[in-house]
Amino acid sequence: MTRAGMSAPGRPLWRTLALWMLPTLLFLMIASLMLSMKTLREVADSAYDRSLRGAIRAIDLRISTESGGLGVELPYPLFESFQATAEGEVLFRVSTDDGLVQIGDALLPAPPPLEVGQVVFYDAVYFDRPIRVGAYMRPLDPPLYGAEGQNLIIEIAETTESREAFLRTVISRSMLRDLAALLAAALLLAVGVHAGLRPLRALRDRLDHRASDDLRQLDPAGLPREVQPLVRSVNRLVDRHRIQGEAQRRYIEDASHQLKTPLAVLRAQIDRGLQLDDPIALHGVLRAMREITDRSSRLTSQLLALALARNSALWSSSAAEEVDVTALLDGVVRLHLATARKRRIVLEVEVAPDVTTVHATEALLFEAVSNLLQNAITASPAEGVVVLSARHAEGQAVIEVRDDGPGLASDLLRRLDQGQRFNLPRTRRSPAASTGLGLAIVQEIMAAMGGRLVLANRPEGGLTASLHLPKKHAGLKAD
Amino acid sequence: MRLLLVEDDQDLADWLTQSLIGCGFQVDWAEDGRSAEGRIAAEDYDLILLDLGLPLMTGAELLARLKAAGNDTPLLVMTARDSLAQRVALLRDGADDFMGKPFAIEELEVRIHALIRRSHGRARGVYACGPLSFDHAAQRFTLQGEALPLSPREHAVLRLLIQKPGDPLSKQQIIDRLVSMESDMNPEAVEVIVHRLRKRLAHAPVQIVTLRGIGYLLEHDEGTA
Repeated sequence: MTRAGMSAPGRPLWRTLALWMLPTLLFLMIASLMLSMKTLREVADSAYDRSLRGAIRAIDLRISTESGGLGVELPYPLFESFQATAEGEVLFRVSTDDGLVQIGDALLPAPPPLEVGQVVFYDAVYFDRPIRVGAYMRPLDPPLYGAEGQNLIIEIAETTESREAFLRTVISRSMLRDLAALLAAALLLAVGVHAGLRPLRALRDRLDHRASDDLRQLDPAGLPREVQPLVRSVNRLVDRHRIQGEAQRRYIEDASHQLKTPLAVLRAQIDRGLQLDDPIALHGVLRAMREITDRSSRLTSQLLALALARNSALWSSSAAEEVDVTALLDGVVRLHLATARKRRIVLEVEVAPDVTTVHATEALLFEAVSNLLQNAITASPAEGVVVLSARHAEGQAVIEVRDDGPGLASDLLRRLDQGQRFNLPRTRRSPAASTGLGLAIVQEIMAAMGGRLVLANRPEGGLTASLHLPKKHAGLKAD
Repeated sequence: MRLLLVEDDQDLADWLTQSLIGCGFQVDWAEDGRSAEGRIAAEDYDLILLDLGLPLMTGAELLARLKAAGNDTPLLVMTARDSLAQRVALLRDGADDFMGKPFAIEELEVRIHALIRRSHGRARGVYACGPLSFDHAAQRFTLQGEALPLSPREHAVLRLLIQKPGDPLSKQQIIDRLVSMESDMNPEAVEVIVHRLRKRLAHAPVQIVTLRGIGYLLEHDEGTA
């Protein structure tokens, strides 16, 4: 059953999962990439810095002040091999911290403040080229030119192109690996969802290929545990439909029996009438026919009312509204007043002050009360009193119809009390004026509205028929 | 008496017409709502018998149009629709009476006569309930042929009751309709007036019935007539 205005189909499951998972994965990967870039840079720096430190030491060992000035014998072989491995340029400067002496590249940027005896590494820029500098400071002993507390600074720098190139290679390799992992995860997700939903698709196919009248239960075997509650719900729904369908089928069988019988009787009467020559006998047949027609028309309208009530059991809640009880009872009374007054029956209405409205489908409630009143009027002796009342009992709104007729047989009341439903009688048990369907209609209506019909004989004689409307729907006057 | 039968089923219309002619009525037949409207405009009928499920214009539409046009020909609705709430709505919308199909011809005849009598009475300004009648022009009640003396309040209440025979009026409805005339009207006063009216009608076959929770009903007591 498809209904217009139903919500658009939801987002596919895989997309929901992907929307949850992929951004998180991406975030984690970028974070880890940034972290590993930092670590890699540190590792690369410490490796490269070690050779800078070696070069500083080599220069330091070759510094002499014997000539009275500052002399450096450059370790050219070392420089060469160094330059070869670094694939760049190597620069150096030997100087005193007072700036009196500078040997080497005087244009190297000034070092940061240095600690005596410590090798410090830092990044700098030399003629627009990034360089890595190692700087070392030690006291010069003896100092030059009679200066005091003079320190010697050795700086070795190399251009960092090779270092950056190395880092780039390592990082791009690592990014590629992460991206591949991400793609693999997305693919696994799609495949996993597809595989996970396969039993559901099989279930759908099973349902789609079912004959429309096949109302067997679904077999939950092989379906994922998460889907089992859904299958159970579907099964309960299928069960309800099956029960309804069976009731419908029974109803149609009964109804066609009930409707065809009077037609058969009429046909027989007409055939008999055609055989008769005696006008008086013919008149008798016509009178009998009229009675059959009356009965059959009552029956038809009640069968229709019953079908209507059953039908609205399926759709009832949508049409429920706040119904003014006083107006409803007044309307019902006015409808039956003429019939009641023919036999001088007095109709009375009592509405308790705390009952104003009830939540119900007005047409159905009207039909139910009307049926009860009709029964009461039929059962009531001439000049009897039939009372319609509305009150609250245990939070429920109760509409009651009391008569002083003969009441119902106690075994019938007992069976009804045990939950038996009135059904279409296959054989007519009720008096000729009644089709015996009125109470079945009322029961159907109450079932449709979620309430119930309670019948009880009154101790002083007569019957009380009460409609108990569902609790949550009771409209109480606000105090 | 001329009736217009508006009914689309030819069989039913045929047999019904025969029966009604047999009862002494003169019957015209209209097959759909539109032609019915034309005939009603052209001729003068004492009563319209209206089916609801009509082609071209439904009975309910025709009813609404006639009432909107101020037509006060009595209108008896015949329908196979079974919703009781619908019947109540139809009467509210201006139908004068209602019969569910199928119906007994005798009952139809009785109701047609009652409606026509009521409408003719209304036209002449005369309302009747059994032996009690009220002449609107003379503002006078007559009981069994003799003038019925009443106090102004009794007169007002009885007039309300006789104008709607068979239809109960609640105390509140009576108060609401008399409020222009009487400012100090209250439920107790209505009870007192009804009590006095009952005394005045005591020996006539017409009575005011109290239907607790519903109202007062003026009724012709045919059993003892």
